[in-house]
Amino acid sequence: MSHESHHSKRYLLYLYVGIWTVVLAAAGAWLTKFLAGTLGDPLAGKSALAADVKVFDSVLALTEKKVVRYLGEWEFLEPKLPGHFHHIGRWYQSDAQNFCIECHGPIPHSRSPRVRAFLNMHNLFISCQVCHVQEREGIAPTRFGWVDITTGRLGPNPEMTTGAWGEYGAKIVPLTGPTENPQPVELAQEKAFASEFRKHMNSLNDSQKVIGNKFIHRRCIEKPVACSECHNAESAFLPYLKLGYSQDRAAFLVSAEVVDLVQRYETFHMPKLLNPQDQEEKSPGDKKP
Amino acid sequence: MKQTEISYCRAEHHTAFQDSRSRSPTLALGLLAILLALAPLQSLYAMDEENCLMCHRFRGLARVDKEGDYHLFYVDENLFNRGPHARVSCRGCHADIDKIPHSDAKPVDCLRSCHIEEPTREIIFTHTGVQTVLQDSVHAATDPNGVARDFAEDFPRCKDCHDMPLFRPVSIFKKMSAGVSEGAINRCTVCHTDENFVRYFYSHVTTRLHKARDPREVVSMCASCHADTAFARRHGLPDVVSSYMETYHGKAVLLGSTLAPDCLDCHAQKGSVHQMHAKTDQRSSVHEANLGATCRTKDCHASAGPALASFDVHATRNPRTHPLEFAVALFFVFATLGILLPILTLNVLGLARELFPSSQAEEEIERLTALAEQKAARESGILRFTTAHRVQHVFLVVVFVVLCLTGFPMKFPNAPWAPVLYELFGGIHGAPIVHRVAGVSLLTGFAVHVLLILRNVRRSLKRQGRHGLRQWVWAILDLPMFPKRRDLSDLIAMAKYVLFLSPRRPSYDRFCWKEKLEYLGLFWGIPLLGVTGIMLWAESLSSHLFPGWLLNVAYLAHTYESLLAVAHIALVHIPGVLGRPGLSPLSGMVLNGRISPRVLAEEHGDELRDFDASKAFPGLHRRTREHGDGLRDLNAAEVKP
Repeated sequence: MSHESHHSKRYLLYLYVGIWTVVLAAAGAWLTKFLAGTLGDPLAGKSALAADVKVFDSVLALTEKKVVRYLGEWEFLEPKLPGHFHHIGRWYQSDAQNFCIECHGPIPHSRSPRVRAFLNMHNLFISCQVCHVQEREGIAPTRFGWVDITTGRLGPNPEMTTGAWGEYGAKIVPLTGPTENPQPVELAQEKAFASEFRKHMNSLNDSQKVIGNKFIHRRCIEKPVACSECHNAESAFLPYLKLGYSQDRAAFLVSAEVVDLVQRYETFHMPKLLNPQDQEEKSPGDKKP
Repeated sequence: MKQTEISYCRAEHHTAFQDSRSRSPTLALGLLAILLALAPLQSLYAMDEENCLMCHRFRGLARVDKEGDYHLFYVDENLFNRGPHARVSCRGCHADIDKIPHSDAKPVDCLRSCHIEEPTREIIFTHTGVQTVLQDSVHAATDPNGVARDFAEDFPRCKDCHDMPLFRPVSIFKKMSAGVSEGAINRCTVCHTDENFVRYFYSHVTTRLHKARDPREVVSMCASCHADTAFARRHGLPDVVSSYMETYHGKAVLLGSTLAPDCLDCHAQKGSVHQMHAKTDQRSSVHEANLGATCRTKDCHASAGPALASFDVHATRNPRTHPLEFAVALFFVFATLGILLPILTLNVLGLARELFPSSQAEEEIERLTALAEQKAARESGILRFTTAHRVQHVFLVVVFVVLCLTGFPMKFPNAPWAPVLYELFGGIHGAPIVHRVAGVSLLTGFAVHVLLILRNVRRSLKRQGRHGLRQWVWAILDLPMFPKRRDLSDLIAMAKYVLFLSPRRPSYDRFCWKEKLEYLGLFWGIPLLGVTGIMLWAESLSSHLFPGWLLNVAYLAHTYESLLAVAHIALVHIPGVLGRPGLSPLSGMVLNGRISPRVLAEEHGDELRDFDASKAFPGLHRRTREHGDGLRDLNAAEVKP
């Protein structure tokens, strides 16, 4: 017993001395480095970033850099967009559930010059599946609900009269299953495949990449839902009132003002995900007035 | 001030939307005037006549173009309404957007005339006055002859320095503080009934009564170019941002001072902030001939002497450009590392030697411990520090800690803990005062300590009938804390022991070489920190007594010496006192003054040299026998750091 006690005391002593030794050695090393760094030309210590690194930084860092605005009576932190004049306050909440975003990002529309920004704006509150996926080609969904973008669970209609426009913490999704227990249209197989596909992307050959890409998008329809299918007073694709929109808002979305706006823009060349050769952009002059 | 997430008043948006919703596309223009005339102004200021926000109020309205450029078309109405542009309609700036769908928009020309009427002259407002000034400044892309300067693309355009300005109104009604004064608003609205306009006007005017942008934002703006290494090299500029950040000015700005000068305060002191010239230009406020006047403006160092102009705000420690500063810094770097690293190494090796003590050392310590235990039993504990010692030590600890807590945030203002720590002491406007009070306290305590020593020496000399300067010198050299030849031999013996070159572990007397070194360190550090601190504190007075460059030296000495002091305490003193096995986490000696028999045996075994266990005479009074009663009093002045 006494022998064991002696050993345990010895181990504790080793531990104690070891910790102090490491702490002191690390502190001494840091101090030496710090003090040495205070001497000399400060510019010499900064290496100019390589051009490609600067480009990388300037292109991709915009969502990471933030700046504090000090206004005396109040302050706020906002993302720093290089060259952007208007304040944006903050980014919107990202969709943590929709697996399309993992590849396409939150700003996926870029091909149709006139409507791409509008379509991206709708991404705030409408999931990709609403417009781009059908359980079977030609059979459009008729039931819709809201899915929480953080939990992925189907939930009640969100509060839309307060908060920022379009940012409800939920997105509209198509529903399937029995009427009494509807569920969001799941692309479980595609989602699992896409996850594996991304992991093994670097080890796949060209043919495998094409095949994999096709599989992931196999339930995407060639002609997505168009703006006018929702913004028309006769038979709107989305049931606004059931989705919780107020009478006023629902009426506005199909009002002459919005419908006229949509018509002005609607020289649609919606992206055909599997037929990129058909997606040539036309100049503004080629489009309807 | 706490950073806040912007709150959005959806009700405002919603009402604005309802107004706009009632307009049909064909009648929109015709109804617009009637609606604006009849409907109350629901949105605070926004002039969204074209209902652009119907789409542009969505944060997701964005795209990425083929070049990878991100285009965000979102307009935050809440923030837009908080700046001077709130009364400008969208097309006031985006004039070329005149149809739906929009054509590719051109970049906004900030010099165009917008629809706002400039009230003092009743003409349409324009920023061309700024352009006129800017064209004659160091930031113009062309020289006065219109010839493009080298790297013309580097020169700033409006949006490189400005995003949408936001109001920073001040409350000047009875008290000067940030924010809109409701009292003032209430008085204005007695006659000016449109409160929205009053608030806009009030914010606009009072924003101009102080810095329109926080100094941190100004420095950040300038740093976006001037801290760019490649940019600085292209234009042959020094690293002015780093050097500024090293100054009290820069650090105070980082810690939230709105009074400390930012770049514009010195470089564009008169007229428009756009009126900035190279320091070689005689019109520049930082030109050699104007620098003194710039420093001595009413709001800055008004009572300073002309010598302050030779203080280099952008001093670095580059040996080519600032040899003096480099030499001072080099001295302190060598002093710090030269003192700390050897002691640190000995301490670490000493810790390792604790694991493998020599049998001779173990036996000696066991023998001394037994002796010390007898002594402790006989004397009811072994008193090492008197009450006076302990009081002085506690005072030193408290003052030192306060100085560290209020000084180190200023040394490392970028550290995340710095502002938090500073706020505990009242922030940038309170902590420096606490620091100075603590500094003066330390100096006072040090002076009292020195006076006590001198008084005791005088008493001792008087009692012994010794007179003259030589006797004074000998008496001081004979003080127990003054290093003796034996300390050197103890140091060598210790080095041999920890390097396993000798089995003999040195046994120290009442004070060992390490303690004497620390004690003497205070005689170097406190006066140095005190004098340099006062010089920097009373910089205007200093400028009448010393050349300005001496403040650069004082600043370096203060900052390096403070680091040396803290590093010594943190790495040598505390681990040396508390880091040894058996003493952590806290030795009671600093509180009750009593040393444990084991520690006495290990550290001050020689104190037991004369202790005779068979006699009742306490060995602790050996020095009393040797040096007389006068030196017993002197112990009251001994301070252990």
